[in-house]
Amino acid sequence: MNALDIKDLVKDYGDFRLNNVSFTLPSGFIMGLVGPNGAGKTTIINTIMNLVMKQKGEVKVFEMDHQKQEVEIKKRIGFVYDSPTYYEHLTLNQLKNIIAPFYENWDEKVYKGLVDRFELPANKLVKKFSKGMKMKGAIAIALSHHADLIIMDEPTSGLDPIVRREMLDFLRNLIQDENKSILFSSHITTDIEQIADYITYVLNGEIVFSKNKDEVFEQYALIKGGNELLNHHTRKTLIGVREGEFGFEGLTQDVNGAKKLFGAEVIYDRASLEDIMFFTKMSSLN
Amino acid sequence: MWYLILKDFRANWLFQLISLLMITGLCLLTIGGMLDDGGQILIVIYLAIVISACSLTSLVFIKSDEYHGTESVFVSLPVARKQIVVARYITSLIQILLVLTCCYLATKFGSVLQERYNDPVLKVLYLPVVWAALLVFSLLLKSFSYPAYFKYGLERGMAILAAIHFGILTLGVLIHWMFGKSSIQIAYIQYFLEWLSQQNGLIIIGSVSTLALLCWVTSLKLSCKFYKTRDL
Repeated sequence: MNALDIKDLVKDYGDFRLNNVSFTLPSGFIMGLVGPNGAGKTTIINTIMNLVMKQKGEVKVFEMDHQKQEVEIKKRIGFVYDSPTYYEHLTLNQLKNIIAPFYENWDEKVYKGLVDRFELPANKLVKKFSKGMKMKGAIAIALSHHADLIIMDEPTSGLDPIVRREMLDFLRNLIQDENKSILFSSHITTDIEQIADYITYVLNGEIVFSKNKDEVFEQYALIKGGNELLNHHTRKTLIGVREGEFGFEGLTQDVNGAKKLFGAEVIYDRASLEDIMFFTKMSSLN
Repeated sequence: MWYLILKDFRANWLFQLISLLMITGLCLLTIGGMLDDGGQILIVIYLAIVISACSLTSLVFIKSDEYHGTESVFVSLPVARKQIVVARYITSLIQILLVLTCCYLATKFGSVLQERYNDPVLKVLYLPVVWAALLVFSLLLKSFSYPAYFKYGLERGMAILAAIHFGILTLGVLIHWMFGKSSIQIAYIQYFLEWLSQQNGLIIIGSVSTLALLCWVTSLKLSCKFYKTRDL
């Protein structure tokens, strides 16, 4: 069963267009939605959550239409914003008291467990919380009703490395329950590389790829070699090339083809997600 | 639905309480001034204060959600957008009733404080029909303004409404300037007022209330339609 199934999603803002976005998240996995700022990650998430209305396409959550069965679906989703927005003049417990009644499956034990685990001062005003504490508070509230799908928009951006690591560990542990799925967006590629099972790369409102993480890293490679090897023919196998005084560096998504072409004259490195993003972006600019 | 109504009062009870206390204080002061001066004009001002208070107080919660950015948080909860709109209308009705109750009590209490409970100036303010008319008028105002808020948000909605009000006012002044002295127009108005005075008061109140209710329901449907497709 798929936790999320998006087909040909279109949203046009005039100056920005989400263009035929399609991807699938199978149940029990973590998907990282990666892309540079303004690529369309938040728009995709907001469309899934019905905060933004799609113009075309199909969005199915737990194999149900996200608009027709909105309430039923949202009962099973835990949603965390990039910058958690709550009434700041209230305490975390007061916020919890406002939000908890909306969920039939609200589990006070889970909430208290998360508050303790995150060492949150539940009776302190939210406006006095640090950004990391606010994010943890939002997660505690979002995860206390046994959500089957957790959607998080940039949960780690702006957090210090320790809190980020804690957050990623927490998400990794959460997924041990095979019924849960996580979709989380980030432009911090190392976070995605660490915990995602699937990677969906969005660029300029379009999906560049949406694949299993292992497939992505098998498919792409970084090639480094002398500038004399670059010609019209060899350039065609590269997605973006960076030329320097001592040689070139380029990304290929056809490692076998590149090996046939360059042979042993170049160095083949594993491409990081950041490399993939960088060279793809570079190629789209050209 | 109940939780949507309750959440506004739970989250913003202090703002609501302060605004109600301020309105009560303002009413007490106006009543005091009215009794000191004995002027009839102040009754019109008093009624305008009550209507403005009803109108503004019921915006407190919408403003609070816009200010804190919590509107999208509640849309992401397991509730339909239609429920959010209906809850907002019910909340407004409750707030208007609270303001009217405070104003009514302030009127009574103010006159007792000044030991002029039977003052003829205040006679009109003791009439339940006046307070019913204020409720109806406030509901009418809400029914005109809410669809704009649900389509454009509070700030843009208010700006659009202000522009519309300004346009209507300008048009009114222009019409008055162009045809104000027309004997035909005056005759029509006089005829209408005479006709009105000959009608049964209860029927008029009933008709106006029905009209207000119709406007309220139409406004609610329109707001639901707008909000259902609005990007947050």
